[in-house]
Amino acid sequence: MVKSMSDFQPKIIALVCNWCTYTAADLAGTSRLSYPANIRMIRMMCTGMIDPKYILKAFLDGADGVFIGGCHPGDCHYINGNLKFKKRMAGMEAIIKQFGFDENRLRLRWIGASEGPEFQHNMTDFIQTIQDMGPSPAQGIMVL
Amino acid sequence: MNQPANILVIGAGISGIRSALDLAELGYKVCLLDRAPAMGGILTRLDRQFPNNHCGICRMLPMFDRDNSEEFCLRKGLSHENIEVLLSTEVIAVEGNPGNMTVTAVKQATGVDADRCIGCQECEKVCPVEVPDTFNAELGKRKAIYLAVPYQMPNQRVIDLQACTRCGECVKVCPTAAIDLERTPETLTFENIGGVVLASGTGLFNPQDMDIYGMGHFPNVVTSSAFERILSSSGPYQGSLIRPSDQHPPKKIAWIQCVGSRNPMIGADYCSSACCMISIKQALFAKERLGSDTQTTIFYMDMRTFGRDYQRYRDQAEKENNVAFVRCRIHSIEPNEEEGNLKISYVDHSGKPVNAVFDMAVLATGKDPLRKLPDFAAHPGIIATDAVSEWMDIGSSVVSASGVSERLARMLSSAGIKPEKQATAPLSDKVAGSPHLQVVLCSCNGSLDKVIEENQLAAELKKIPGRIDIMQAKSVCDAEGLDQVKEILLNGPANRVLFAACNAQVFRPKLKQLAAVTGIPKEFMDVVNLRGLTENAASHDLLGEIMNQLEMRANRLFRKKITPADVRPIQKTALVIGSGPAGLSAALALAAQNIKVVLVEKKETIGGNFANIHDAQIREMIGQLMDEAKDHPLITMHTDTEVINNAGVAGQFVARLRHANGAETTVLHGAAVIATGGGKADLPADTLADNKIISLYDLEAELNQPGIDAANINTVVFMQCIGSREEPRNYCSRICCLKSLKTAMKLKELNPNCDIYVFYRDMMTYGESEKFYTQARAKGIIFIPFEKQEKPAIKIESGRVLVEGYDPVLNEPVCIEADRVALASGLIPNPVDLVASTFHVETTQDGFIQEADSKWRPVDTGREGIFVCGLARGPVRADEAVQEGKAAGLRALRILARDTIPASQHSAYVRHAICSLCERCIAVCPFDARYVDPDLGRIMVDPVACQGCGVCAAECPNGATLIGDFEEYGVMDEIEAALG
Ligand code: FES
Repeated sequence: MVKSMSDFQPKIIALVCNWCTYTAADLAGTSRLSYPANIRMIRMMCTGMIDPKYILKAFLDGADGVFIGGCHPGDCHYINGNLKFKKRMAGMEAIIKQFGFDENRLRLRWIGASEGPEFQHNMTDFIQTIQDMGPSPAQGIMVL
Repeated sequence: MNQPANILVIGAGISGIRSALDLAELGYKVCLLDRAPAMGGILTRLDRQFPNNHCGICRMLPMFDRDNSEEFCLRKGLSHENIEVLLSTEVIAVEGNPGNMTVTAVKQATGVDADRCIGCQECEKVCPVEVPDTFNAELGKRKAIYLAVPYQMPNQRVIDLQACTRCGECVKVCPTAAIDLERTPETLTFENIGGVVLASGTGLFNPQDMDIYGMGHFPNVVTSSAFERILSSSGPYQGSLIRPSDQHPPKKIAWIQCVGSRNPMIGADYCSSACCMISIKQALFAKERLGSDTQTTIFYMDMRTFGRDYQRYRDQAEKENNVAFVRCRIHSIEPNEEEGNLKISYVDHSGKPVNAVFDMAVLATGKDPLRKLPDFAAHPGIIATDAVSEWMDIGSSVVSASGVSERLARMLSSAGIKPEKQATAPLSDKVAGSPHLQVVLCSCNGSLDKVIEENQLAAELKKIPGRIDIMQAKSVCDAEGLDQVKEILLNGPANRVLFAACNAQVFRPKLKQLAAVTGIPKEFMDVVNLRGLTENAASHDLLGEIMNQLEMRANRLFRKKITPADVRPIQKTALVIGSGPAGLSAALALAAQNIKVVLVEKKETIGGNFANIHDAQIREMIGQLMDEAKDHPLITMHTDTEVINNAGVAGQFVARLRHANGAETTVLHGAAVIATGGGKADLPADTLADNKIISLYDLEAELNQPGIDAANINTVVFMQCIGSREEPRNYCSRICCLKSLKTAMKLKELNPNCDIYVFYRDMMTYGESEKFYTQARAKGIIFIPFEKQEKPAIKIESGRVLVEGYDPVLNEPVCIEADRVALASGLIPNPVDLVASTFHVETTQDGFIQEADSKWRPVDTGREGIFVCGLARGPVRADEAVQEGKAAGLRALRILARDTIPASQHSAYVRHAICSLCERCIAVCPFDARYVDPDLGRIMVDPVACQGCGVCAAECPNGATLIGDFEEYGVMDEIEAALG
């Protein structure tokens, strides 16, 4: 059965940095800033450790969107892991496109540890974007 | 009381945290107290700090042996194996002698049992009492039962018992019966305390009673700390920069400096040191938030940008961001006709009275003049940080706190008190066996029972593939509940544990306790926040959510492996380069802890600039250090010697020394302190040649000659900032203003009739040295400010030396015929090229050694095991150099005091069999933690330097590098489960 747009609940993987976005998410949680629940947060120590494999895996396993949250430039706990990831990002967009995923399904944002409201805002916004785009074509293009 | 603490740290602000961490890292048991119900002090109110406008407090966390503390935002809380944090607790009496003190403290009742409170907020919803929100500068309201710091972890409530009406509503709704309004304060006695660090801060001035500013009368006049709250997303307006009266964004904002500081009338004859930079930062944020056309004006007397990189920060604010700087003490703030606006009247540069209208005014407040030190402060065995008597910026507080830690460690070791060796539970044999997971469903004192039962979680969990046992506990937070779990882990087959409980950050410290008794490493345990998931109202499919999370974590745990742990022995010798006050202090700090020190000095004598120093006090201080170091059996000195090579990793370095005669020596050491110092800058090449025009240093030397007759030195002009604070040497040298003042006063002493003029840009008499400035003015010394672009001119006319300037007070040009013109030429670092390349550390554009982080890790360099202090790092006074030396010594001691360093569970490791030696990981590693071992032909990871950031693993084309705790299959499985 094809789901109608309105009950399309996107599945979103958020790979987030322990020091900033993860803390901001926590802050959003404790300040009761609710954000859509269909985000699966995976804690990384730094965006620098995010292997392109993880992103591809997430898309191939059916994620409708992948969100990466890291420290603001200059703020990375490990000097510049965030910028190293940013460099990888361009390549990543190209790769997922080759696999048939719209590059807008992958989003990188800097969210500082004290930015609970920004976290909430970013999540809501990303979900909206994905909702507008509709389900990911992952099922159709699955390769073995 | 059965506290194992042998050190107490009073005050859990930035200094207290630094000191507690220092001592905990040396292995001492520390109890960190604060009378406030939350830790963090003033810092909790500051989201971002200059000069990089971010927060980096997490960089203070231990850099190695990181498994000892939770790796998590330090603003939210601190969890370290050796530190116990006690809040709402105030010390009232101290007895006994260093090494064996008894401390009495009172723990205030907060009305809430912290062990039971689950932070559910039900109480806050029903509390009928609203009071001004003190955390947010009273710009909003809070309930009588509240969270002391909105983002703190754990997020347990406290009750403001003064405001509480004891209506009992909260007691009724609390699901865990955590509230007890009848509780009374408890007296705690700590026995057997080795020493106490006093780091209680200086408080913050309250300008409420200063009529001229209208604080309290006009809502749009706020203090700088209130402005920080307005900027903060956890603040009263959720981070929108709006003004209190009408909640509109202000278009014109004024900052008024020195409110309550530099004001002898109210007992504040000091400078609070950090406010100038704070105001510039705030002005920059205002522009960033509200747009660059926002008008920001800073009214100041002197912009005290005396830190190494601060002048450039100010210049950038002025030139690139158009922050306006107006030099004056304002006359008053009054309401303007327009609703809420403020009229600020002052006298401008040309002597004209001006009335300017602003939408909002920020009062830059600092140290509280009324704050007194507690009675016990002078008790032997108590060592106070400088930050209890002076307001200072974070970097200085951190240095001072580490300096105090060093003194305390020295005191303890001379009293024969050693840190206890920690017994770690041996790894349980089970761990190596095939994965078997114990899931513990915590009902959180019954409050999650419904969720667990309705969803039949136990039954659902059985469906996860793999060996899984399930148990339900009433509350793992209770000792009883935790014992139950221990029992099962000790006797059952499980070797991995997954809790479904509350917030992971709150819960994790408990995992450590469990790990210690069960021998199952804490990396083999995890937590899912069942409570959080349940509360998230947006959830459509609660069971799906919960199971998903549990399965994600279970998969990760199933994949966990024990990482091969290399244990590295430590070479217990330190190498100190430079023998000025900083280097000597570092050497002595280490030698006092039984570490051998090799002290290398390039010149033929030790003491740095000792020969050029005339200040009796400073001479005595350095002289003493020199004598102590010369006599110390553990310190070996090499003068006329340079370090020409250094290789290896922290704990195991090899250095090569070259002596003046060409001979070379090899030194094996575990850590190095760079203290290569600096010295006076030469006068600019275009200085007129006349023996009346001399450097400040030369005038100082002249006046200190024995038997000097100053009778015919009748007019002297001092000129500040010669070559300093403008490109290419755009930094404040920090010592010249004070030196000019002291020299001028000496002159007045020798010849009371001497007329003295000081041309200055900004008098940098920060902190307590402001008193010299006040005294100098009282003695009739005339101070004339000038701007960088309108420097006074020095001329020679028929043998007479004339200084032509402009006096803004008289509002006319002045021309002074001088018997001496003393030029304050400032400080420059000694050349550091060789030392920087030898030790692979970065330098600044001005030729100083770059520290790892100017605020949070001021004496570390980017390379673990290499430290920097004193003039090599930036301009400092001699007493500050001593503090930095001690701090650097202490940082090195963290490594050198150990016999071995174990690899962290979070460090990277290499699967050599599939490594292609492409060395890409070496190139990307931000900590220089990787190298090729030429003998083995392998890539090696230095577990001390490795911080576990994982950049290597992400870049490795072969998947040969793995991170202990973030091993890739685990992450892949977690992703799979998440989408399952
Ligand atoms: S630590 Fe947050 S992105 Fe590197």
